[in-house]
Formats: sequence, C-alpha cells, structure tokens
Amino acid sequence: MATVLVTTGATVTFTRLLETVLTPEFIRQLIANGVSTLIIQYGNEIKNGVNLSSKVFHSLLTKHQIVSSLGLKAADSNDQIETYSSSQFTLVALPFSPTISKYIDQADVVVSHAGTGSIVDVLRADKKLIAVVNDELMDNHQAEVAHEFAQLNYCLHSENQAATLILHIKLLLHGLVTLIPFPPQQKHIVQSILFQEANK
Amino acid sequence: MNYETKLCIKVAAFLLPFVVAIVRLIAILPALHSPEITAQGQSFHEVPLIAKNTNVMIFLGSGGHTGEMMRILSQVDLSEVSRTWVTSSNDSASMVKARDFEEHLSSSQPANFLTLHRARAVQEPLLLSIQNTVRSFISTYKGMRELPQLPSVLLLNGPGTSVPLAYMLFAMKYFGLCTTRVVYIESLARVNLLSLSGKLLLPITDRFIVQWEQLYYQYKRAEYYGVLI
Repeated sequence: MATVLVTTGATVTFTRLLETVLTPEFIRQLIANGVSTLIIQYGNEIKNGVNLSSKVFHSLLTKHQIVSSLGLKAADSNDQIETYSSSQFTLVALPFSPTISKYIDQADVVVSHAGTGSIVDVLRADKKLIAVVNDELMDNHQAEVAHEFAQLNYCLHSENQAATLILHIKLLLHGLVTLIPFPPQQKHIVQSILFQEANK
Repeated sequence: MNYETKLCIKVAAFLLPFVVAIVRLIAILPALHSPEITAQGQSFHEVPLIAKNTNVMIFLGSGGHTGEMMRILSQVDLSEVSRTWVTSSNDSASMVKARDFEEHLSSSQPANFLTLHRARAVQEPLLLSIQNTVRSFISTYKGMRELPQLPSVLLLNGPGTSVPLAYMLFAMKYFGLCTTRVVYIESLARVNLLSLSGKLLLPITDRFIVQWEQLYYQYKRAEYYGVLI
C-alpha cells in the first residue's frame, strides 16, 4: 500500500495544485493505483491573522464534499494535523510542519512545488519526486529549475493537470521509469571557503 | 615660479586625490584580481584552522533565499566563530530561523542580531525601489556602527537588501575601516542567468559561487562545486 505526499512549500499557497489534487475523482484514481494514504501539506500563508492556505484547502474540501463522497470519517485532529479515513484510504492534511522530513520519509512518491528547498529535501531523502511548477508566482524560476532537475533525471517534471499527474504517479509507483540518485550534500566546502577568506 | 609651473602644480594637486582614489579602488576591487581558486570540483577535505576573534556575518534574504542559506549552513560548523545574523525589516520568519539555529549551536562565541530596512521588493516600481534602497543604505550604516565587531567574512545569497549591505562593507573597506571579505552564493533557482543581486555583487565579492555548471562557464570569477544546499 503506497503513500503519496503533496507538498506546496511553507510560504505561498499553491492554489492550482490543491485544486488539481483535491477532487473525489483524483483521489479515486489514486486509490485505483494502490495509494492508501494521501498526505497534503497545503501551506502557511498568513495575512492579517488568517491562514489563507488553510482557507483554500478547507473550501475545496467542502466544495467537492470529499469527506462524504469518499466515505471518510474525521479522526481526532491535533496540532493542526487533520486525518480523515475509511477502511481503505486515509487523507492527512497539515498547513506546514517544521518536521516535514517525517512526512517525506513516509512517502513513496512526493508531488512538490518546484521550490529549490523542497526539491532538494525530497531528493536528499532518496524519494521519488514529481515537480510541479507554480506559475502563479512572480519573478519566479521554478520552471527552469524543474526542467533542469528533470533533464538530469533526478525527478519527473509534470504539468499541473490531473491526468498527467496520475500518469506520473503511476509510472513512479510501478517502477516504470528509473531516476538517478541525487548526490549527497558535500561537507566542508562552504566552511572551508569562509575560513580561507576569514584568515586572509 | 612662472605662471605655467604654478598651473601645473595646481592641476597635479587637483588630480592627486582622484588618482589616489582610483589606485585604492584598483588595490581592493576583487574583480580586478584573478581568483586564486577556479578549479571545478575541488575537494575540501581539511577545513583550515580559524583565527580567534573571527566574526562571520550571515545575511538571510527571506523565503527561499533563507531556506537555501539554512540548508547550506547545516553543513557549516560555526561554533568557533562569533556570528552576526542580518535580516530585513519585513522578514520576521528569517530571524526566527536564525535564533533557532543559535539555540541548537553550542558555542562559546557570542551571536548578534541585526535588522536592516528592506531594499527592493519583487515587482516594486523603480522610484519606490530607489527610495527604499537609499533608506536601506542609511539603516545599514547605522547598524554597522552599533555592532561590537565588524565581520571578517560576509556570507550572502541575495536578494535585495544584501546589495546595499555588501556595498556598505565594501565602502568601509575602501576607507580602511574594515577588512571584510565577501562570499556570495547564487541561488539554486538561477540556472542560466545570474540574479540582479548576483550581477550587482559580482565585482565586489571575493568569492562568487554558483550552483549550476552553465553559470560557471559564463563567468570567469564564478566557482562551482555542485549543489550546495
């Protein structure tokens, strides 16, 4: 039974990705492909004391009646982490977690916005990644970054579209594409440079 | 002394400060000195010993820039140097991260925190951008004067406010007030083109590090060691 994590980063709400993923149809497709747990990290964009990301997430949940149409039941939520589950499927949702690595570790496939931090976190955890570009951002280089990482075969780069996303998830879950392991973080480089310069 | 000799002396006296100013600039401008290290993929197995009283200033740029910097610093042991953390006025999240880093660091050396007026914001109109940059310069100068120690090294990775900060320290170095070396790491988000901060900072940084090979080939002074975050 597989786990998929969808992560939108900590700062800006990735509304369009949430719209793609939060439909009963998308979730049914995931279940059909052997996914038993979907974890959604929807963001923590706060304006005037209101969590906009949470608002977007919950309005989509209500709009598509996801909980009732999939026969899910709300379990006890704690620390802003909500869980909805049935006998065959569990939906976990959270705004942002400083220990996001815990959720990355649980996942078989991660669908992430193409922010450099998120991409590197997922690849360093040795997880299969699908990068989706957030084109709502201004002055943004996610497209270049996602393209480059995909070109190097470290991850897949998907359009923000339900059918394409499902296809990519399927390919990765069933091992139909092979990705190259991302090199580990190199130690001492920056420290050496800093200390070389400080000693001058 | 005849008129002509006097004139010559006057002209020479007038030009002398300019010549001195330019000679001084040539002497300290990193862009005019070829970097000692250009080797790609050079390994750093041994970290050099660090002198006592070394201060490292770290600028946290906001959002993704701060995210990259904190990931870079996860591989850097700063316990033997004193740290000065610098953030912009509209960015409390970065200050939280700096304080969090300090809480997890056991060090006998002190840490300072400094907040500067922010420079240019994304998509800001030019005039407002200039006004904010000027305010940023002023607040940077005031901030530097309040510090117990000027930094030995400034580590930054953009954006906006990092430019006035680096130029202020460069100006102070020009007048012999400090000896700060500047290390810039371009964001991993920049694949084919340098950011505006990167372009502006290239001439005055002592070490200019990029994270994509494409950029390494484009700029003579760029160094490349793979992804550092």
